[in-house]
Amino acid sequence: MKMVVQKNTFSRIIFQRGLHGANKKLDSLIRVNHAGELGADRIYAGQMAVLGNSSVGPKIKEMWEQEKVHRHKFEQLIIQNRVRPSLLFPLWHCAGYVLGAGTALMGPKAAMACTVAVETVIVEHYNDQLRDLMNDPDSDKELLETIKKFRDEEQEHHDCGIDHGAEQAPFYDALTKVIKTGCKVAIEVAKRV
Amino acid sequence: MFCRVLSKSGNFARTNNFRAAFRPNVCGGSTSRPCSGSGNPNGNPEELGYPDTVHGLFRDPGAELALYFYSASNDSLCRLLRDGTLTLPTESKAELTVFLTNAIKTRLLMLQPYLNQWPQAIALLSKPSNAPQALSNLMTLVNDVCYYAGDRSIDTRWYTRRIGLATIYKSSELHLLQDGSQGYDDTWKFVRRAVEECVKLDSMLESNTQLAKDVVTASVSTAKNILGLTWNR
Repeated sequence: MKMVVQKNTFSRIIFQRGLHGANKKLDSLIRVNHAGELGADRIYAGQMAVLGNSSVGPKIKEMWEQEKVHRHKFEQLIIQNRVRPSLLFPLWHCAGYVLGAGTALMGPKAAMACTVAVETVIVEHYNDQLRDLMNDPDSDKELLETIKKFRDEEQEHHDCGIDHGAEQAPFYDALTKVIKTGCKVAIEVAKRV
Repeated sequence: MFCRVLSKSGNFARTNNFRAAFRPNVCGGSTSRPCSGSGNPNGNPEELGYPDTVHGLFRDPGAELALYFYSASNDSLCRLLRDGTLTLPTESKAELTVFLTNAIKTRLLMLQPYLNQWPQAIALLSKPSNAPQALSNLMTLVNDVCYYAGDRSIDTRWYTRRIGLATIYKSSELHLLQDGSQGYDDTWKFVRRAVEECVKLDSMLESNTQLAKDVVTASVSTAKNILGLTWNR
């Protein structure tokens, strides 16, 4: 008989939960989504601090409110499923704000370009998760519906950014590429740490 | 590890037999050779219908026994906490201290029957090959205690609280091993002091974070006003 030797990675040491807790996949899914929504919330907070009184202010405010609902939902899920929150919480908190405020300082169009870049990555990421959840017959239907709803709202934010002239932002291509890469790296890191 | 090996071979029901086989051995002899026919009449694997080579299934029998005992004790503590046998704390800090002290005390008392062998077990668990699993068990333990103590934090406090509790638990365990006082009174006093200090530290950190945030916000807006950069006019 072959001995089953379990490999212990750093993540497994922290993940294993005895009798309770979410399984590893759900654990990582909820953690990364929470970190993402936290980042999004902070990006809009940063944009509002700069562009709060400009013409795009009300639109940003509206999107911000939705992001707050998303963040709140994942906070609840973290508590319900006893998921470990991301260790880099302070980093996401600051980085989101700096990204939001930084692009907003470059003007409303750059802020919209930032929104478009971030939401593109988030929509892709949610779509990947939805595909995974749909392939898995044991998956939580409620979670699936929640993610689907959030995905649609993020898509709206993306379209709204395009409508507000994101593509006319200075260095649109370079800017969105940098932000997209940053978001993808952040997603991969938040899944693990 | 035992359970996992057994469940792989579809022999789940026998896990309890295994437990029965191991228990007396820990009491009687050394933890380093648990089930390999150590001459202990209670622990002979043959009597339970296993060949006497069964110990060969395990990579490191002594350490895996210690790990198994550790996680089994964690599970029983967790059941006690879940069923509310240990009273759950409400808002007040004093009750939280009592709850944490009781939880640690209950868990340490589970070691009591094997206290003479426990230093050996600690040595086995600190071997590089076993340390990750042992650390994981400790994490499970403190995670459960924190959860039932009502910790619902979702930021870095999640980590600081668990690391703090793990430190308290580990040092109390070492304290217990050296304790010669009547009914381990010294250890319980030590646990109480440590928990009290940590609860104080935790609430202090919490209020200071708020203070730090206020100071930063205030100085930023003052600077903005001086420079005439107020956007939110």
